[in-house]
This record gives sequence, C-alpha cells and structure tokens, in this order.
Amino acid sequence: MVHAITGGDLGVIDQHKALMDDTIGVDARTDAIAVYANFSMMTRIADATGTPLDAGSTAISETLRADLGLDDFISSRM
Amino acid sequence: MNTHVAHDQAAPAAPTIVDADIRADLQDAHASFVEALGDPGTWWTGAERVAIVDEARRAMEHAQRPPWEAPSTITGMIGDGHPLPLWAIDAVWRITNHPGTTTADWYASIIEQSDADLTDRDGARSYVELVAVVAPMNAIDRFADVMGLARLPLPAPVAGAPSRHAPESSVQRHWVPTVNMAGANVFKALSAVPAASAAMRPVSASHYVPEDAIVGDLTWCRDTLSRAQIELVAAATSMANECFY
Repeated sequence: MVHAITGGDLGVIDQHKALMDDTIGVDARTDAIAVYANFSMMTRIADATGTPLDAGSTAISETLRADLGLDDFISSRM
Repeated sequence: MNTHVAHDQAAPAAPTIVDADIRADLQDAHASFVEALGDPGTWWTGAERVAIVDEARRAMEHAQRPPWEAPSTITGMIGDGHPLPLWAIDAVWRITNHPGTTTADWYASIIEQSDADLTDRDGARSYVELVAVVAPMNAIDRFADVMGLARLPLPAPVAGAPSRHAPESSVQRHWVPTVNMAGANVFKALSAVPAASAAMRPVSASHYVPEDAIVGDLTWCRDTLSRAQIELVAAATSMANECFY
C-alpha cells in the first residue's frame, strides 16, 4: 500500500485499498493510511531539522543499517 | 463514504470535513490543527501561516520537479507580492517534495538567506515553525488524498502579531536550535517553538499511537492493526521517503 501511494497511480492505490478492505477491513485500512500519513509528517520533521539518531539506537541499528543500505541515504546523519 | 463539508456555527470561518467512517479523534485532530493555522503563530502571522500551507499544496502539484529546481529559481513560478520570503517558499517545496534530500549545507543556505531577509524575527526559529506547519499539513493532506476525501479548507487569517516567544535554546545535535528536554530526538526537533511543537503532537497521537505508548507500551493498538503492523507501515513509509532517522 505504501509503495502504491508513493508510486502515485490512483488506480493502483484504489486496487490496494480494495484489497485491504477485503482482507483486514475498512477500519484497519483507514488506520494504515493514517500511519502512512503520520510518517509522512515525522520523516519531514526529522529530515528538515537534521534530527540525529537517538543515542540508544545507534549501536543496535548498525547491522540493520548496513543490510538495508540506510547509511547511504542522503539523509544519513551519523 | 458519507463525506460532506460542515460549517461550525460558532466559527463560520473554519469549515471542517466530516466523514462518518473515520475515527472522531482523527477528524478532531485535523480540524483543530487546521483551524489554528489562521491564528498568529510564534514567528509568522496568521496570513503567512496560511500562505505556507498554500505553498505546500502548490508544491504537491509539482511533485515531479527535481529537488534542485527551487521555485525561486524558475521564472514566473512566484508572483509579485507573495506574502512569503523566497527562502521560505523554497524550503516549503523542498520539505514537501524531497524531504530525504535535505542536507546540512542546504539548511545553512536557507538560514543564511532568512537571516539576511528578515529584520524582525529569528531566522532559525522561524524555520522551525515553518517545518511545524508544513510537516503536519503533509500528513493531513496526504491522508485526505489517499482516502479520497476533499482536503480541509483553510481558515481566514486572524489579525495580530506573532508572539516571538523564544525559550532558551541552542544548536546541539540537531541542525536547528532545541531546548534541553528528555525524549526522542524527533520530538525535540521543534522544541525551540513550543506552541508549534504542541500543535503537532495531537496529529501524531491520533494517526499513530499516544506519545506515552510509543516506547512505554509496545502492545498498544486500536484493535484494527497490531502494533507490529503499525510499525511495519511506519518503517515502509520511512524507507519510501529515504528517511535515515
């Protein structure tokens, strides 16, 4: 669903919404879209303000960051 | 879908969208945030805060433009007499369309322009308030867009001067100044403008989970999505936005 949304094709988005309605229900689909919207906000706050990783996250995320290539993001701030 | 525009009798200038299928707390959070946009802020007037949202909405219509095409560099993109300074318009567009491409150098150039442009307000703190308007409106508008709802109409600006309330803050680990406080770094990010930070929090709580449950109750959910499913959507969105944090 998230990738359908960021892809921007309204037909594909509607297909995913219908699939979610059939599988998890309308309320869950709405809440999923709400979470997507929230992280459209939080990512913009973090990246617009130069928010660094929290101290407790730096070490425990090292393998994850490497596996997913997160350290290569322009927004990487280590 | 039972969508319609309703006008609050007590505040006719601030219409709200009501949808019977959407949680009331979500609709209330959206309506409250948008209604307050018309009020004078900490560093921007009500008219300027509404203009910031207008620019964010205009930016979304140009989402395919690359990040290096700042609107101030394109002939005819910004009309004469625009209520916002050019640096603010450029920042709104970059944050709206390409948040994952912002860098410390980009931020420094924006603040350099703001400090040169503004004579009666603090550039860095004005920028923080701008972020605190643009980012929640991205959430509210993108939610409406995906749900197939009309975007909330913007309120009429209320006359008055910004409060210019500036608690003690300094540049520490963020690019922007922050106050000394406990909590996750992303919740400190807007702390130099407390009113703006406070306005954002109900939007987050209604979309995601209550703030005290983010790390305090890892099983909290609304009985629709499990917490694990919520975090999966959060992670996928952050990845799609190439957000390192």
